[in-house]
Amino acid sequence: MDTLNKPMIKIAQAIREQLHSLQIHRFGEVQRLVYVVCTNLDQLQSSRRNLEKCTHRGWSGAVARLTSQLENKLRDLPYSIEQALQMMNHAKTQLPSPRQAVEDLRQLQDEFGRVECNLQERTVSVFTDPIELEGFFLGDFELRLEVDKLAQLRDSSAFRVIAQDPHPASTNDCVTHPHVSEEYLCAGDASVALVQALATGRICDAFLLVKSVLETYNPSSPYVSLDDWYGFPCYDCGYVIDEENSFYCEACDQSFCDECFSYCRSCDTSLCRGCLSECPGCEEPVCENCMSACNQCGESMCVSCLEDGLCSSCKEEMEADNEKESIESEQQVA
Amino acid sequence: MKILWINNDLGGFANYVNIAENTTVEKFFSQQLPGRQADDYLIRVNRQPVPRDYVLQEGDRITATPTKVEGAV
Repeated sequence: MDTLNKPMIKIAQAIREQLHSLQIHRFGEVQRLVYVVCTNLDQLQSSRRNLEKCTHRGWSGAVARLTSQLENKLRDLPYSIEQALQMMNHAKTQLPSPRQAVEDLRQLQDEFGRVECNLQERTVSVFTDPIELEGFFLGDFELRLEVDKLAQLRDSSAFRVIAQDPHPASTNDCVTHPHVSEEYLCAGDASVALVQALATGRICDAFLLVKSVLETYNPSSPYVSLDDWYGFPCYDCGYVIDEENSFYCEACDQSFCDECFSYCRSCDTSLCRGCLSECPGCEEPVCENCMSACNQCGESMCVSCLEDGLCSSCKEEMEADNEKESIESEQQVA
Repeated sequence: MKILWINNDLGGFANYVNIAENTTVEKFFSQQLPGRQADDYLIRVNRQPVPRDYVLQEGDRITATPTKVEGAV
């Protein structure tokens, strides 16, 4: 036996075993779905018998109710039959022969140049060239197929996409590619073809589809858009901003979006809204340095709203007291 | 004559199709995927790259895998 191909042959065998398990699982699903169809038919039969009885006895209310039930069951029946037929179609998928399985892995080697078969982990890996999307360098990736996941095949989660030279989104380092999060690919338009390729043992086709997804940017549905790739969240609201559209607050040493940033109306210092307070007197945003306490009531106001160290309310009250005292002393004199 | 056609675009199903003698890969592609550009696909016959004027033979296995497929969340 050619020792260079030995791991490949063993992995090909493992792939066939898993696909066989998948087929058995699918036949189990077929049985379950056919059971559902049979149950629906039994219920239809029962409703039909009841309808016959009620019609014969002239029970119009019951007839109306049973007719409605029958109608609903008849409408549901084609759907459950279709489900069963679809699963039957999937289950009948022909497994690759041992030779076809090995040839597929050899084609994988031709397409990607390097294939690693890990017999212990039961994985097959290939490596992409560095990927760049719309000027954003994302590095190269390992595409790893976990063979043991083939038996429960539902989507592309049998694949892991592992960044070899990560350039993740700055807002989420689990997103190493717009369509990869936590090393799992969201295959989008490739999903159906990918599952079909895996289920029929066309492993090379499946890897090629994963590569195609990685090399295509879908701006309408990424985990993180490339526009926000090097952005960062506003410290207040979390909105993603880039360097050019960010505002730095010297008071708290953080960066903010324009909605969360303002300036002190007293001294014109630019600060975030969190570092500004609203003066209860004039209702304008003011910084800490431009706020002072009223000598009488202790309420904090901007310096513009204080006169002789008093807020307008306390000032009025003081003037009223002074006037009252003045009147009283004039009366005494008189 | 009969060949196996595997279209990895959207459905990814395999079908046997009858074709005329002397049908080239290029002609077959334009018949099966009209309006599509062959350059947007990885086309393999019997797992090998072939020139566009390759004449298909009885029993050939031809696959077409799109090189641009949109992922999604």
